[in-house]
Amino acid sequence: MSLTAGTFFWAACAAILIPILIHILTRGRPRHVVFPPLRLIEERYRSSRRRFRLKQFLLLALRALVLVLFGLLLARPVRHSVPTAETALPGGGAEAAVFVFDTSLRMDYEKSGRTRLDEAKEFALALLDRLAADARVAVFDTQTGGGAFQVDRLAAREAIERLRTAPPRASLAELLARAAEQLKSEPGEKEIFILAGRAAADWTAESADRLARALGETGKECRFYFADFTPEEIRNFSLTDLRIDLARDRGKRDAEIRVTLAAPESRASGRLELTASSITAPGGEIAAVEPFTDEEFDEDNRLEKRFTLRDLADGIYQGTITKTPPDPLAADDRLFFTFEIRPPKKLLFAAPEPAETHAVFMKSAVELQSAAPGRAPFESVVLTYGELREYPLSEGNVAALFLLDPPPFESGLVDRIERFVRGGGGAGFFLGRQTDPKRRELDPLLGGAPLRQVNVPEGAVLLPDPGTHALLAPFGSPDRARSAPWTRLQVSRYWRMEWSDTPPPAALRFADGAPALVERTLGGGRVVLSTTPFSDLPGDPKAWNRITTGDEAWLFLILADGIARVLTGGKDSLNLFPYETAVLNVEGTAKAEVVLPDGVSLAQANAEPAAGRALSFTGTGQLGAYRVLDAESKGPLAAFSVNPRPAEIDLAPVSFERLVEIFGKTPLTRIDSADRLEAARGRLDGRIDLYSLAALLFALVLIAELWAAGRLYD
Amino acid sequence: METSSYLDPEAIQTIKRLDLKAQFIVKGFIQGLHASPLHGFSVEFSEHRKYVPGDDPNEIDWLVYAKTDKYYVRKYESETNLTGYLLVDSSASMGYAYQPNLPTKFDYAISLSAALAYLMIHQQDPVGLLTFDEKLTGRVAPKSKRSQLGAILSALARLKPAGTTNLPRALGQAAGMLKKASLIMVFSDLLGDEDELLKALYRLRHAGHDVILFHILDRAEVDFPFRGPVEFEDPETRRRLDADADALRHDYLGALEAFRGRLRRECFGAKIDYVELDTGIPFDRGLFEYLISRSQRR
Repeated sequence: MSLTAGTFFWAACAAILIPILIHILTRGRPRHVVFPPLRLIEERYRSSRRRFRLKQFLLLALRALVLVLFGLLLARPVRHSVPTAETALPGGGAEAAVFVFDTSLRMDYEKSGRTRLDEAKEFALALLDRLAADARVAVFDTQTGGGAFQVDRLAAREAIERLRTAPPRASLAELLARAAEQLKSEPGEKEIFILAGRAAADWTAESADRLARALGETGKECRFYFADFTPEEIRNFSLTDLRIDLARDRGKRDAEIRVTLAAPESRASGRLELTASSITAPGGEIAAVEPFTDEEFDEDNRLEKRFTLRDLADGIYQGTITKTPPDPLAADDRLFFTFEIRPPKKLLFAAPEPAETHAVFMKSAVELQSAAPGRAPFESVVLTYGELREYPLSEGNVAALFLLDPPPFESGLVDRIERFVRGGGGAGFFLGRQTDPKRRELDPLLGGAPLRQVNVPEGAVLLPDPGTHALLAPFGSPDRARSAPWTRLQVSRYWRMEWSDTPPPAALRFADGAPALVERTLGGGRVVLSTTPFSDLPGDPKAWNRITTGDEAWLFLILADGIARVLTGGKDSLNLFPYETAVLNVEGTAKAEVVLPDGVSLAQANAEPAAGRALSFTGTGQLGAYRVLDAESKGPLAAFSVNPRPAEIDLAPVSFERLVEIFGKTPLTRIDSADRLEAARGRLDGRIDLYSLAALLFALVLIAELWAAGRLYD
Repeated sequence: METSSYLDPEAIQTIKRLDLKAQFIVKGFIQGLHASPLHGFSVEFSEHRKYVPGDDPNEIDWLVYAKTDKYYVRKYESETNLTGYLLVDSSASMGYAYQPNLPTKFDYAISLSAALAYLMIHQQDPVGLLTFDEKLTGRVAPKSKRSQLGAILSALARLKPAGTTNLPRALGQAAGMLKKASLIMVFSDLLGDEDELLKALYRLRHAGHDVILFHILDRAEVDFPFRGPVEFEDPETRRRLDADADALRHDYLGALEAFRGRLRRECFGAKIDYVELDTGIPFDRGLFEYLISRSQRR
């Protein structure tokens, strides 16, 4: 806290002497009264005198306090949260400012024909005019994930006007941390203007922690203003959770497409319209309609709808599901999908000899789960590690490798497996007694190295990840996953890993914190690592665990399903989220071009045409259907679709108080108009609050003084 | 102070304006037909004599006039030999009046004394005066002549309240002076030693005297209207005390009530009439209320 006119305060402090002097000078001069019955008074004299002196002292203190508070009022107390008066510009306004825009799809929410981003841009331009003339301005948005200072205000204005909604590359929390970091080296007063909604998906506990850490280091030097563009009433239906299950049965080839419609609190009726067609075998248009009514939604205001497409010929299909009637946010009224009908892919199970015996649990579990209705079956192939060395992984028909208790590999096989994974395949490593910690050839695949065996004769306790983990997805919900009897899975030996980088997220851990089952992405594919094997035989006294054969072996069935889903792509890999890498099988084509949803074609060179699906495409920032064509023949080679992540279209807000809580000690001020920026700056300084507080205290103390004086001096 | 001021015609008229019962009592003892409300004030009819100018026409016996067609007035004779003594405290504390529009306790006491003296002399009872501070300071011998009232009031008019009080000692001296049982009317604020005062009063009662104790306080001494810091001074001892009147008020009033309560109880036990008065009460009203209550007890 500082004082705008401190002289008044110190003068008031000095003026305390006045009532003290008055008190001293008048202390010996009470009113003189002749009173004959003095002897009656004398009896009570001493006690009353003590009370009188106490009252006098309290009155003196009140009078001194009145003077101090009066001086404080005149001094205009000001609390400077970050900048100091010395560094502030004379005319107000920051010397450096960053405008942080939420340009995610949520900002396309329309009202009266204008999107929220339109309003945010207009607001920002008005704020821009209220900055110091020579202020340095940067414009950050969630699509680009950052930005630099513009050369001048005009450039900043143009940068704001150019903003468009797009799938976000960075979260708001990350942007804010970067903005604060960018302003860190700037001199003078610094301001960060956040122009966004209060979508809860942007402020998860994880992002809040990250922001709190970042602001703890750099946020103290900046003022944060929040221009709130949360819709007053959310009337948006979201199409989300696209899932495509391909099923074939003796030549019949069906596809079941499931989507979820999430409704706001005010449900409504409408319909979903599906259109699809094959891009490789031109034929008739597929169309289907699924009406929905407001009564079909469940308690969570969600409704799952299924479209079953039957008797499809081999080929790549693309289509859309569109909700009608439209609502204020168009971005989630339509989902794009792509799927491919072709012969089943292979799952390779490599195991120590006898391989069929050691692979029986994993193979049986995966086959059992994949045989369920609506699931795409796989063709299982069991190999010895000797046979694996010769097996062609690059033909494009292998979906995943299950490496059970793998022995040390020669570098050639490791390279092939890595290429297979980076090309979009999945590899599961289930380490066991054959693992040699001295051999490090698997380190690049595993992301670390087995360090040592941990022997727990009494059985190590397994604990599931408290959040949502893809490997535990078959359980249906984190709550169900947590409630499973993990502690009854008996693991007596496992490998403790040494990670080369940050440990990947673990679906299961041992009680000592050591990961038991982890998943990581490598190129376009995935790697699953279990630090204990799933191939030990029942009755083997040296078995490392009894996960596959114990009383709770049903847990293994579900785990195996989760592992298989992750290794084979988890979801249909032809349906991506924005900025995910599309791994495309272009069947050895040397030159291809990718046609974006907006019609623009991008030439792509396949670095390793001989390796099959080695074409990776990262320019997936647009929503919609992508096609890959042969650059020369223009024939279709592949296709994929991009849809928004559910969180990116989730409009459910958090309260502003929650945001203030997330910002912690860093003040966050809400401004609802540019005209109020000055007032908000004042509030941020705490000037008004402290002045009001001082005024209130002054009034209270003055009343108390008058009352006490009235009581003490008639 | 002029003597005439004690002969307040309004006071006397007020006595005459008592309510019907009071008038009856007054007329009763004036005419000797009823016992006096004051012990020793009672007179008995003696004889008739011819009316002469100067006599009160109210004393004309209209029954005799009806029979004889001549004016006769009744002549009275004291029923008892009791003599009245007015004991007036003239110490400095009696000269106190907090509010200037109210009389001092001394003035109040003189008004009471004058009224009672008038009443007694008017009924031919001998009445005398004793004044005191630490001791007896003045004396007017009891007589029943009409001129006695002027003598008493003249003596009082010459007094100025001064000095300290020692009522027990004064009462002791008075008891030594009085050879026969008398009616002793004490007018004082009684600010002294309670125990000694009560002992002195008991001695008077044992000697056969009838005692009426008029306890006169200033209105401020009863109400304690002071606020805030006050320096209190005793006018007799000149002692001073600084105190917070607000803090003291409750305690003082409690102590005063305890003091008066004790006197009330002790006097009742000793058959002494204890009359609580303060200068805020018109003295005639206070006197008449007392006379009426006394007459009701007789």
